[in-house]
Amino acid sequence: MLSGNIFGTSMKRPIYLALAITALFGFTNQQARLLTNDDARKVATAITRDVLKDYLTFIADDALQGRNPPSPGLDAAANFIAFNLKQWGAKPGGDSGTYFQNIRLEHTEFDKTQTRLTVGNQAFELDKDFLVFRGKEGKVSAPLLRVDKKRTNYGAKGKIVVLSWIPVFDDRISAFHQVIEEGAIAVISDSNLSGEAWTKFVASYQPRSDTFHLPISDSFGNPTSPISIAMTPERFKQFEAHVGMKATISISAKLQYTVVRNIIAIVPGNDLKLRNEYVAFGAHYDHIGMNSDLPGPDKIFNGADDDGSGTVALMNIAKAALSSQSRPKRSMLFVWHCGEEKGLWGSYYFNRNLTVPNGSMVAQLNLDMVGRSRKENDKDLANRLLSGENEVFVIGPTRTSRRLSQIVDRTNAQYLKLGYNKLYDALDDQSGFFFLSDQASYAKKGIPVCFWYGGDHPDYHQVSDEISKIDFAKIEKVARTVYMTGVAVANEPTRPPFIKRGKW
Amino acid sequence: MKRPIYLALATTALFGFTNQQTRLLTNDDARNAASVITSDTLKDYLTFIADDALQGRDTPSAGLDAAANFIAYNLKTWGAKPGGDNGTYFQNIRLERATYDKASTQIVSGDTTLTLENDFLVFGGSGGKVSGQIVSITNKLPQYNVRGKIVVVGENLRSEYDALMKSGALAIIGGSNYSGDSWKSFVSGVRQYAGGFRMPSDASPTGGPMVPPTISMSAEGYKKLAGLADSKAQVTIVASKDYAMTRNVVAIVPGADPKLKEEYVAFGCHYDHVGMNPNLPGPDKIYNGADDDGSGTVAVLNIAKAFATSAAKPKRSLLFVWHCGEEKGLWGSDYYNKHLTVPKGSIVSQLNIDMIGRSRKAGDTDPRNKSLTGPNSIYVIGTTMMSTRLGEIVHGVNSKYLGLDYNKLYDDPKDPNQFFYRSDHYNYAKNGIPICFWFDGEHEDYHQLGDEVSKIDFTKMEKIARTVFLTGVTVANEAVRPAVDKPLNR
Repeated sequence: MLSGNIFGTSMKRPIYLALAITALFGFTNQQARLLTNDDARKVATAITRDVLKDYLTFIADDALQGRNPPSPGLDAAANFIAFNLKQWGAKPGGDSGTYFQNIRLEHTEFDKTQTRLTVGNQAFELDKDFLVFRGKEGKVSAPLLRVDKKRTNYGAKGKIVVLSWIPVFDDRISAFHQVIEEGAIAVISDSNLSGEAWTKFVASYQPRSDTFHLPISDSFGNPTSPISIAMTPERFKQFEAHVGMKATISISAKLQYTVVRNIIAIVPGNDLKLRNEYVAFGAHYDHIGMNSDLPGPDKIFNGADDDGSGTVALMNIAKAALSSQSRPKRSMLFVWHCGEEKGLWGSYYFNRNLTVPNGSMVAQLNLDMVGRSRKENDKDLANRLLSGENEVFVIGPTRTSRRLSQIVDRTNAQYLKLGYNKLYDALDDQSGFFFLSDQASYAKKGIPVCFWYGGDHPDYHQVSDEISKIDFAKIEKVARTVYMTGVAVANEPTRPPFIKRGKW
Repeated sequence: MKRPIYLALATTALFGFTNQQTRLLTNDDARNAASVITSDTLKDYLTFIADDALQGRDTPSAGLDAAANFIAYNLKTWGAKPGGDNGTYFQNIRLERATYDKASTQIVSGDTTLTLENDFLVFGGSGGKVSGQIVSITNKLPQYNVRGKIVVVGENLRSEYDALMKSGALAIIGGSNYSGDSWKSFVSGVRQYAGGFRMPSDASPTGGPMVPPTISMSAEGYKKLAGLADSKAQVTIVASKDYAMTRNVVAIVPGADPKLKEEYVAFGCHYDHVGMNPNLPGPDKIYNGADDDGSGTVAVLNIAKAFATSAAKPKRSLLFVWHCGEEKGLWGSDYYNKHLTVPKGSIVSQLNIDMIGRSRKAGDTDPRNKSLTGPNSIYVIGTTMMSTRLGEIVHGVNSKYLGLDYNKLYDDPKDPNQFFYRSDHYNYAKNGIPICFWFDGEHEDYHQLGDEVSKIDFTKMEKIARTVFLTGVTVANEAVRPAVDKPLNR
């Protein structure tokens, strides 16, 4: 699950080339037998806690070094998932007949002395006063425009936007996206971080050769790649005072590239017509890497729950679906996203570079953190937000599709009867969880979504998010239920209509 | 009331036969079972093992651990029995790294002070301070009377180190040919080798006995020290240690014969390679080791799959060991043979696969490929040594099966290339276990960046892996284990 600032983050050094596996097996057009919703109960028993544990033992081991995007450990995880998909006979759903959708990341190495920001008679210094997240070689001068609340139109084209700290996360993000889509030349944001917090923030971007990110043109369809800069609140105030004047940004930088991958597989449906539509299952297989500066012996964030749990649940759902000769009517699409922790990169990219026809996804079922549970006698306040052994949060259907909501609830009521906690599904929910995992990228494309989430806990984004703490029986229950839900959606005569509710 | 006897018998019949005899896999049946070994499967495995993601599988490294986890994951999927420590597939080997204190580690004699890295490097042994007379040894002797002395030996006497270690010397100091810049690059190379980690001299996880330190001098330092012969010197070594774990991967498929299943036919290879070098000038920094020994790694994996997924088994049990640290000096097989996970004496043969994935194409005139075998050919090494019977089996199986061209050029301990001593089978041979080693020959990409999956001849690998599988079945089904009738001497 995503946290913190979406504008960028630190990464490990990647040295690798894109891998291309040529699928060796062909695909017959032969029609499989229909898998009814009732038949699916038997198939679901192929999802077991033992199998889930075998997968997670690989995925959350120290050997993968916390699966930071990009990193060799993340690539090893991708190769492991692809290896298994091939063994089970899944159809590749990525680029050129492979299981991989390649995403090119770029990294800009800034020259500290040549990268400057000036307005009026004031000069600002890289690292001390500001940090460049995105920008390329060159010099731009443009008038400043203040943005301090959410609006539908700012008139940001050709401007350098001065973006105040808007406290509501989603408003802040949508203002950021909006001005970029309007064609702002640059966005200079108040980081809300000063003193030691700022120093730490800057340090997390060092060394600069490790800061690869998704090119902004891929995210927003804007070929001009606007500049994104963060500032200390103190300097931001001084900068902001010049609104109306022209500012100049000089950047001296070198661009480098690397590749990360979404993993995509398809299980074709049985109905000759409806199989051109897809029920999408998603999880993210990346985590937040490692930190060699940590004081203790453990330096690796294993991400067993976040989102090792969703990663292996998805694998086992795919395996179960492929173990049966029968298939539901619609096809199933499995996407393991990368870079979720950096700002939903993988799902963002996938929804802008679809490997299935536009409009063919009828729902997206997302799993992120479904491996932890609060025991009944646990009185620890720190675990108060964690769901119980037979409970899980479901988020999204209320805001995206009444029909999906009904299917989700009905399937559960007729099956394992888990406690579905709807706290964060409410239209007035302030937690923002609806936006904090990959389902948000699908919902924004008008696809009904449902997000299964175990809840927050003290090991979230800590080195202690380890396999020893995982409740595999719970993952088994949730994964079986998600599979059953997917089959039910796939067998619906008509796709669940997308109806946007609430403000988002 | 007493339980009726027939009920007891019935219960036994239903539940009591956990020791029930498995169906026998005959040598003829094995031809069918060998079809599980395919070029496609081998490619699937190697695509994982030799990918850049594993960063060249250096020992020790995260990439190597990911490879080990991948092998273990597959073994578990097939139901192979764990053969390592505590019911796992892993035999843990603790490597140690000594970091010597530069300020206090020195050799002092009179006014002369020699210092770490400037003049010498320490290669092992105990720390602390020792004082004694410097003795210079320039000739090979049947016995060395050097108890309590600091021994300085010439570069030409490296072979005498073992004898000197046991002679009661306080320290053993050797010369080198490195001076000036070549010494500096030697020092930095040693520091980077395996990240500075080494197998402990007596590779016990609990540490070793007291041993004299071994020291290597620069040419200049050696000259200074040799001039001080017969004077007293003090050697001070101050070091801190840290540790890293690396692993052999070990699995067993039990045999069908109630008695002979206590014996094992061992299959081996090494799953490590030589890592990466971030300082290389081009974009490729990673030694993928697709042939060396990715090919053996995935061949043994597919052989294990063929055995584990077959309902019928040969008489003897099968032991599979994927060794680590082969490239560092046969670490994994050295450790394994000193810390067997099966009873001593129970391994009847070891079949080693190291580089079987490359073949010389017709018309290839590159001199670097002149000793590379062709698509239907492979070097076999060891069949004329140790065990006449094993040699007969190896050649007999091949001639009745795929009829590969078995090249025996290197099948001789006196072979000037010394291939017999250069892979893991050697540590089994030293332990009195007859071996056979399959090897494709040196080629242009040996220990180069170009040792990649795209250059692998998977058809050749399939043929060799199937043949090794059948050879193993035949040895496992032999009435009597292959006798060692020829002594191994170098």
